[in-house]
Amino acid sequence: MSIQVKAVSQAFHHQTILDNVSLTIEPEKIYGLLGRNGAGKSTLLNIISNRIFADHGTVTLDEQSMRDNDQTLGRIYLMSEVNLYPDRTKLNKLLDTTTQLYGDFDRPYAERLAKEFGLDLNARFGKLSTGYRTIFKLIVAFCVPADYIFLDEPVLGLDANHRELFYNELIETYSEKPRTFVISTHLIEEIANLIEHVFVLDHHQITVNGSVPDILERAYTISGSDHDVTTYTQGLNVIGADHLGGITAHYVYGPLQDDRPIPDTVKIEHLDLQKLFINLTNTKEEAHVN
Amino acid sequence: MSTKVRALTRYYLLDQLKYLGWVYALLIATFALLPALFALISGSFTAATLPNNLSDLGVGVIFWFFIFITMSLTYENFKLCIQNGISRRTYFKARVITLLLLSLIGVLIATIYYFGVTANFQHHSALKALLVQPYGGLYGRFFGSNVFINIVGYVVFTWIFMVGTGLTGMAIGGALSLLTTGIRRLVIVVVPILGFFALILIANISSSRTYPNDVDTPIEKLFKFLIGYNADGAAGSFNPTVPVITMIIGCLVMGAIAYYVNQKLKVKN
Repeated sequence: MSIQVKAVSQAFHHQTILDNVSLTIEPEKIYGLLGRNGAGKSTLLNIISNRIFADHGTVTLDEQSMRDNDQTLGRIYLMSEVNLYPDRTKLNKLLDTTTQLYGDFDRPYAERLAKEFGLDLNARFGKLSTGYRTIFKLIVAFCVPADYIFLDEPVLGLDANHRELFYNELIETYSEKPRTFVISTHLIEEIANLIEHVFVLDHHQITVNGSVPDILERAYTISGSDHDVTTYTQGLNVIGADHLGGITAHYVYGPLQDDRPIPDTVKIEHLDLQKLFINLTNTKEEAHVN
Repeated sequence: MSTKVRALTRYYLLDQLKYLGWVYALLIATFALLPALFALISGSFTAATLPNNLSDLGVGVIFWFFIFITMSLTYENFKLCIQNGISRRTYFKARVITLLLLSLIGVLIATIYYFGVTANFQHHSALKALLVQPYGGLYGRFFGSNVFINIVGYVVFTWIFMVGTGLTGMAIGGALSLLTTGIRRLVIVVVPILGFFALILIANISSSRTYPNDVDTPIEKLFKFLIGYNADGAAGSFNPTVPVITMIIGCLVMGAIAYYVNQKLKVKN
């Protein structure tokens, strides 16, 4: 019971976007798919949802191919930045169409969400602002009877209040009806407490794939005087560094060698997800991912 | 038929019928009501003005354009399908079934309108009305003296033609949607120009006859074969079998091309 992405590669105009990417998306979990601009997150989601074809590799859901398969495609929903709904159609009609094609659409919940977000369902899709288009697509995503919901930039154009409402609704709907959500966003801090598992896509490959607590357990900030910090972190997997005044911070991803004595001037703390992501994907510093 | 094919066909059929209704309403407003209004303003309005305007609206020709254009909107419809978890194959099946049903409905409406309204206003009998049609002029008496059966033949012939038109629209629309915007624009401009010159070339080749006057050129022979020409038969008694078979082969070819490009469709950024 899972979505299996196996050895997927994709190139556009001879430029590699994804290189031999493999991952597993399990049921009833909330995932974060993180990566810098152009890392290939949307491409990966488009391949999973069969919107485009991978040059190489396969995607299966419960061992059934996702390629041109109604049974598997009907179990996923991708809410993406690209608008695939007709501009001239009214939102009410689009909900009717979604009900017709997906079946078992939760219309009362959709109407309640529309009210909460202040979305007029009599408006035409093309007349909506970027934020309200996002809201409409999120409402559909929450109400379709899909087991795997992919949210690509789910807060694009949303103000702080609407973002807060979205995160609350996400938690609520997940608690009431657990299903898989894969969230691809740049606002890592906002989803850090929501996601259970993270994929980091960098340099066309999955460089981090694991549960958030496990990953953060291996991520450290080691700060203190420059000499002591540099001495302590020798031989460790330093993924980045900051210097402020006489204080140096080294960011380490991987196990510390516990037998090393820790100088009194050195402080060790765990990194947060955003800081870890920035250091892992920073092109100035060569990150080494174990 | 799977549930998804049925649901999608129903959606498309109702949607297209709604648009067809709008097209006919626009047609009536533009070519019947508006001229009648002008006649009223200019003082030339008589009791016959509106019925005359309504009697010959070219419903069949309009439907031909309609089916070609709506069926060529491959990518626009594909976007909504893929967003709703519909596979390309299901999308194709639903569109073909919609085309078959919609074409039949459109042809029946055009036929009823032509024989029920246009023919009446022109004081033509059903047979006369049939024979003045391009189909009737060639095959209008093929099924004998029974006008009704000949009209049924006309409906079937026109239906196949409309299906072929729709499939051609699907193939062209699908192929264009696979191209980048720049190349698509280039193709839209260049292909009709090349087609025009190709037609002139074919016309020149066929007119520069090197054959005796009583011997047909190969192009003339092919053309006569394709329309079911019978040297012994009077006009209206040609055999529609060859054109029908030709159209069915054309439908299959266009259908195969449309299916092939349909399977290659992908979402653009």
